[in-house]
Amino acid sequence: MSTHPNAEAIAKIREMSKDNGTRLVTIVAEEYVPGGLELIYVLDAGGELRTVRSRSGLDDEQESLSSVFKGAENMEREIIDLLGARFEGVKGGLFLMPGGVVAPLRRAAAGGE
Amino acid sequence: MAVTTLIPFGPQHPVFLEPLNIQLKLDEETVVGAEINYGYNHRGMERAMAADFRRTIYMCERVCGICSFFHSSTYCRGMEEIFGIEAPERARYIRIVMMECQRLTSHLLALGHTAEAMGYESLFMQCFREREAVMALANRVTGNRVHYSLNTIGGVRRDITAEQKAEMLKAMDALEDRFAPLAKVFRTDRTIRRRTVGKGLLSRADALSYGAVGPVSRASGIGQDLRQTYYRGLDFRPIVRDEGDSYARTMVRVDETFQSIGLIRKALETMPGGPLTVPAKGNPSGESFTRQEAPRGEVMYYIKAQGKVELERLKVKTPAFVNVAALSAMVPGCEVADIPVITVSVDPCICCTER
Amino acid sequence: MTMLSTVLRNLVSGPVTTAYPHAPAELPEGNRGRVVWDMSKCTLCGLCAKRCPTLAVSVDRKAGTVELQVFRCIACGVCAEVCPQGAIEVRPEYSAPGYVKEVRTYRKEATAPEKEVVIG
Repeated sequence: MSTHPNAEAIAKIREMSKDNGTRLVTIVAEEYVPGGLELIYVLDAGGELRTVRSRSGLDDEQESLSSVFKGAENMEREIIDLLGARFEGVKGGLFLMPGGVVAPLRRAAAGGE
Repeated sequence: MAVTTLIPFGPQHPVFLEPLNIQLKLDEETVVGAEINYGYNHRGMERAMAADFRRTIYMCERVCGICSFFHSSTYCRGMEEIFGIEAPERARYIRIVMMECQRLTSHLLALGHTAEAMGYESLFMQCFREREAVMALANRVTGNRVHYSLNTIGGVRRDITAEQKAEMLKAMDALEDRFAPLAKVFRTDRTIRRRTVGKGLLSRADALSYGAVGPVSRASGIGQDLRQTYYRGLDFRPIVRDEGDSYARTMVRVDETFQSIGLIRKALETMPGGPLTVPAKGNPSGESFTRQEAPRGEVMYYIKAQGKVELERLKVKTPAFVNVAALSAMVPGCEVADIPVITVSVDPCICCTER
Repeated sequence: MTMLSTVLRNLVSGPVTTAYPHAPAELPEGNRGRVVWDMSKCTLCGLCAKRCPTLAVSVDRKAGTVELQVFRCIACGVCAEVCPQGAIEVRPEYSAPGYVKEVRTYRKEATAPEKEVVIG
């Protein structure tokens, strides 16, 4: 993939991380409309919360933040498990085992919330 | 010729009572790599908690047993922000008092387990004995030892009466008196120092990169404590060290225990009167990010609601999730016998990590 | 020798453990343990069943019963708070373990104030 849908968000976070003191709080992922993925990158910059959002399709391959923050890898693995998303260079299997439940946070799995 | 041995540490292991698997790669006795495997305790809480926003008040307590009141407070504060209401001042002070009570139980448990991991059983038993006194105190005030069920959207459900306040102040005096010799053991005992000083180093850059929070980050020089904003009026200052080893983390917890005793006293003395709750009507609609400083670090709740009883999305960010990941940076270079003590000094809470 | 003061103090004072069940459990007044219904006041409106966080309560208006799955009950006290008649009380009793998952049924009768039937 030449450009990932969240490449702009990642570039913005890379800029923010140059300021020594920015910390990645978490990555929130949600199926905000059926088939659509919203990623909210929550960062702490000097005590204040900043968010960077990125929207795309659920099955698009996203760029990983783990080159900027090492802690992002586990967060992305969790999103792969719970929503069935794809991140470049990151494998799922953090919480869920193969052969078990697949993407439980998707609307289709919930039977329509 | 170097021979690499692979040892699975866990999921049943002699260190703490929660399942975690660390694959340790060893060269003779020195650890050269660690891979952490999770998944033994995943309950799917995020989806279960989104079913009904009123039931979530009691379910979010049960995400973790040792920081249950922090989860409940953060959730209720997040919902209050969505409803556009603010809990009364007396409710904020009662929340602060009970939060510090739970912080005491958590730090005493962490210190006890640190001693137990080294084999110092009598110190472990003494720490837990002091912890029992705090839990009995919480039982008298809230009705339960662990899951206080004290919060509701808009405030708190029970008041701290004048007699309970006197009891709490007396118990704090007794606790400070009995914990002081134990703190001295943690600070000065030669064996404890030999097993913690210089072990499990986490540099400031690594702590920021992994997103470490709580005592783990404050022992590595990052001076952030979310209580600075919520505890306005109580003159709170974070405790920071910069060595970054297990000894620094343990010392931060010992100092925070004394700080919590002081905070409880101050909050009880300066608590204003007034109502306990503000009503919250109808169904929530909106989005909120709320953070709180739990004993292990920052707890963050992201709530998105769209006018129905069901929540659209509830995301729980727990401190143990990032701190346990930071473990893979602390472990290389140490010996196998140091692994239990380093793991416990991070104070992992696997039920928080995996929800 | 920094533990010496603690060791000596423990030598002269007794153990802190309560020898339950041979000694009574010291439960404080506000302890949340056992939830009971007073059927003389209950109107079977079903609000307690709607608000129970663990879905432990079920109300059957036709049969006139309120059923509590005791092992699901977390004694949070929400039912006691929302009951418009004040018919529910949370007593500070110790929740005992059991061999089967106890279900308590309260039946609304014209004469008796509270009738407990343990099923299972």
